This record gives sequence, C-alpha cells and structure tokens, in this order.
Amino acid sequence: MDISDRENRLAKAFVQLADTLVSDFDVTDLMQRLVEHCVELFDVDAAGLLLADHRGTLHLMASSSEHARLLELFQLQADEGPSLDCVRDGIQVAVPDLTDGSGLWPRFGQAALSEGYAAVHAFPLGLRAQILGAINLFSAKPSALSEDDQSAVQALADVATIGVLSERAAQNRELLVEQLEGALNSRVLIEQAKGVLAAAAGLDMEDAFTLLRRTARSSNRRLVEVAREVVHERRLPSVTERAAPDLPD
Amino acid sequence: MRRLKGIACQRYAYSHEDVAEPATSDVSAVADSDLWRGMPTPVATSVTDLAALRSVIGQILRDPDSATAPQRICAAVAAALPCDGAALTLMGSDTERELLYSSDQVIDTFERTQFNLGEGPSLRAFTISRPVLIPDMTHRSMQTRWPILQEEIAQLPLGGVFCFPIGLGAIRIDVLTLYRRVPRALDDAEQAYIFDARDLLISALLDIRASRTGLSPLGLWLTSEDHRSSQVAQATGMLIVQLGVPVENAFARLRAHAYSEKRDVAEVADDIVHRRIQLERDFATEE
Repeated sequence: MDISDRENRLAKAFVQLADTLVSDFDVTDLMQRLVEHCVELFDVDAAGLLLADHRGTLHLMASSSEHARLLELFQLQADEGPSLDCVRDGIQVAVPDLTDGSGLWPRFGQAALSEGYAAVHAFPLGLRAQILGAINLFSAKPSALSEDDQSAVQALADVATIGVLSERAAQNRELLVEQLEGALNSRVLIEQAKGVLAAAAGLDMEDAFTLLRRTARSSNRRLVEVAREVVHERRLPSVTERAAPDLPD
Repeated sequence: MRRLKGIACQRYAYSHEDVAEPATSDVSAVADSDLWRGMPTPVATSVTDLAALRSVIGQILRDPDSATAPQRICAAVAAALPCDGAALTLMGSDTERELLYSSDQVIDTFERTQFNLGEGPSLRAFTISRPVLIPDMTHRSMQTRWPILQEEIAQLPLGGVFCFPIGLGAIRIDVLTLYRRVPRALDDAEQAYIFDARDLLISALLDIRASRTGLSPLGLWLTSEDHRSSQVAQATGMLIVQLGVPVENAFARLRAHAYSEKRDVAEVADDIVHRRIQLERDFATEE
C-alpha cells in the first residue's frame, strides 16, 4: 500500500468510526470495526480487543480472527499478557520479537508463538485516568510498528474510546452499563452463530467467523443482526462466496 | 399466546378499566401467602448474599410442587434485591407477553400498562437485548421517551425503574423489571449484585423450561463463566444444526448431556466444538 493510498484509507477509517459514534451507537459494532481497520491499515496480521465491564472485569469484546480470539482469552485465563499490563499501567506495551524469549509473559509468549505470532503491541483504550480496555495487535513475523503507525493506532483507539465514554455525559453510568451488558450478550450471540455455520458448512470456527463478517459487510448489516438471523433461521446467509483460506480478508 | 406447560397464569384483559383492579391469580396468591407473610420489606442495601439466594432457589427447584417454581423463584430474587418491587414477564415474541410474577400492585400495573400500550422500558429491554436502567422515571427526559406511558402511570409511585432481559445470546425469554419508589440510581454494589442474581435467574428459568419439556432434569446449575463462555455458545450453535432444534433446546441438550455424563458443561462443549463427540438426534423428545 503506498503512502497516499494508506492515508486515504486511514482517513476513511476515521470517518467510518466517527459515523458509528453518531448514528445508532453500538459498542460491539464499533469495537469490531476498530480491530478490522487495524488489521487492514497496518502491517499486522490480527487484532483482539478486551473491554472492562462495570465491575472492572476484562472481557473479550472483538477479534479479527479466531486465533486472535483464543489468544485474548488466554490472557484472561492465564492472567498475564500485554493487554493486561496495558490496562493496568495505562501505556502501550510492545514486544517486537517474542522469539528472543525475554520472558515478560512466559505463558502468553509461548501461546502466541504456537498460534503463529511473533510480535505483539497493545494499546490502551482510555481517557485521562480511566482505562476501559486494550487493543492488541499481532504479527506473524518479529516486527515493530513505526512511530507514525503507533500514533495512528492510538488515535483510532482514542476515537473509539471517546465514543464509548461520551455516552456517559448524557445518561451517566447507566448507558455505559447497558452498552457493555448488551455487548457481552451480543458476543454470546455471535459465538452461537459461528457454531451454526461451523456445523452447517463443515467449517472451522475461524472460517465460520470470516463468513459471518463477510456477510455482514457485503449486505451492509451489523454482525449481530446477521448472527441473530443465522441462529434463528438455522441456515447460512444467502451469499455465494464462501470463506477460503487463501482469499484476503 | 404461548404458555409454559404446568404454569397457571393469570390472563390479563388489555383494557383501561382493568388498570385499577387488583391483580389476583391463584399463583400470585400462593407466592404472596407463602413468602410475604411476615417477611420484612426489602430495603436498599449493599450487603449481598448470593450464596443464600442460590440456596433458596435450589430448594425451590427441588420442591415437588414445581408448578409455581418460576413465581417462587422470582419472589425470592425480588426479596433479596435492593428494590421495592419486581416483576417477571415472559416474552414470546414482539407481541406475546405474559406476566409470570409481580410482587405488588404498582409493578403489576406498570407492566400491564406497557403491554397495553406496546411501549415502555421492559419491552425495550427485551427488544434490544440490553438492560434499560432509569434512575428517575419522573425526570422530564422520560416525557419525550414514552409520552403516552408517562400519562398512564403518572399516579404510580415509580422512582427508579430497572429492566433486565433474561436470556443468553439468541435465547431470549423474559424480562425482569425492578422498581424503587425513591428515584435513585443503582450504586456499583447493587448493580453487581443484581447482575449476579440475574445470572442465577437465567440458569434457574432455563432449567425449569428444559425440565418441563422433558429435555433435561432439574438442577443443572451453571456459573456465569459458563453463561458467557464462547465455547458453550459455539457448541450450542453446532447442536442447533446437528440436532435440528431451536437454540433453547440445543442449550438444554448440551446441559443434559453434561449432567448424564457427570461432566462440566464447558468440557462437553469443548468436545463438541472439536468434533470429538456428536450428540444423537432424539426423535422422542424433540418436536
């Protein structure tokens, strides 16, 4: 991607995120778009996002792929990893090369390598003192994001954070709680839909997720809406293209 | 209107004249007499005892008189929550509603008025699958939100109203509506407690429904980790296809299989997702 093409796409990503904030705001949708933009715009292979609920417990809120999802869950279960440090300390956390075994997170490091990732970079979703969560970018090869890229990712994350927090001004804690609870329930629905597609089309969860996302995009609908239809209709959405490992996402 | 097998429910005529009449039914009379006589009025408190609530619910589930179990469970939950009253409404679809339980006349009238008008926070909570939390129903911003409802309920002592959908992903069943007379938001401790109690309620209500349709025996407690578990949800989705059943039945079969194998639901889910096991279609119990 050349510079101007990337700048165009970055600008479009900002516009799209901003649009999401204004009209019919949905936390799940916003976070899903954020991770997908990051994978498209930057030299990374996957992204995951953790968000805290009203009790301060971190939950997986979005991921660009099944691998990323599993790794984010692994952080939660193992209680170690870049996102957790990021949330705790409120700063970016990066390891450009997990293979050098520097051992910041012994278990997470191993898990990441076995999922095929050799570099991670976590960015906080926060505003001033309030940290809501973290977005984690994964690369298959050891690599580091340029300073410009780091600023751009943080800016995208900040837009999303402002979106979530700005709702508080209107209805204070209530709307945030409603949004987060709704998002957690949406997550369950999306996983149910993945299961339906996996069984109906003989796919693994990764491809099932890809199919869901592509259907949402091509029919310009929210992931959650498509997921609900999949579970209730018990069928594949009407789309002719199927997920194949070699097709770009 | 859909009815759960075995539950005796009051049918409500949807007319304005009924609004003033006291709600009576055999079921709520049982709930009232067994549980409210001599019980202290629920007070707002940040002291929580989920273990005690879970124990009470467990006892109700094991009681042979199971026809009124949902109502008695709701009464137990309502008594333990920091609110003045609670109601549980079964939502069949966008237009099917059935009031399973109401703890007093105020909340009863509020729910029935919402059914009548087809609008309100309880209905909205169900439709959007998100809680609707209103610290102050009398606030002027509520005038624009549900203007007709506001007129109809003006005489009710509703301060704070808090509605919670009871369901799991695509499984949407009921709405739990709480109110307090004083317009005050839920504090963090109250909120956390209500969400935990809500999870107990989901587990118990799904339990009862599954056992009533012969899908699984009573008493399959789930933790909220299981409720939120991706693998349990994925396995449920797979069973929808493999067994050819709706989502709620798929979930019940998953739990039943775990129970019969004496294994954790999460473990069984893992096996299903990784295709190590496949449940058999059971033509005897599926419809």
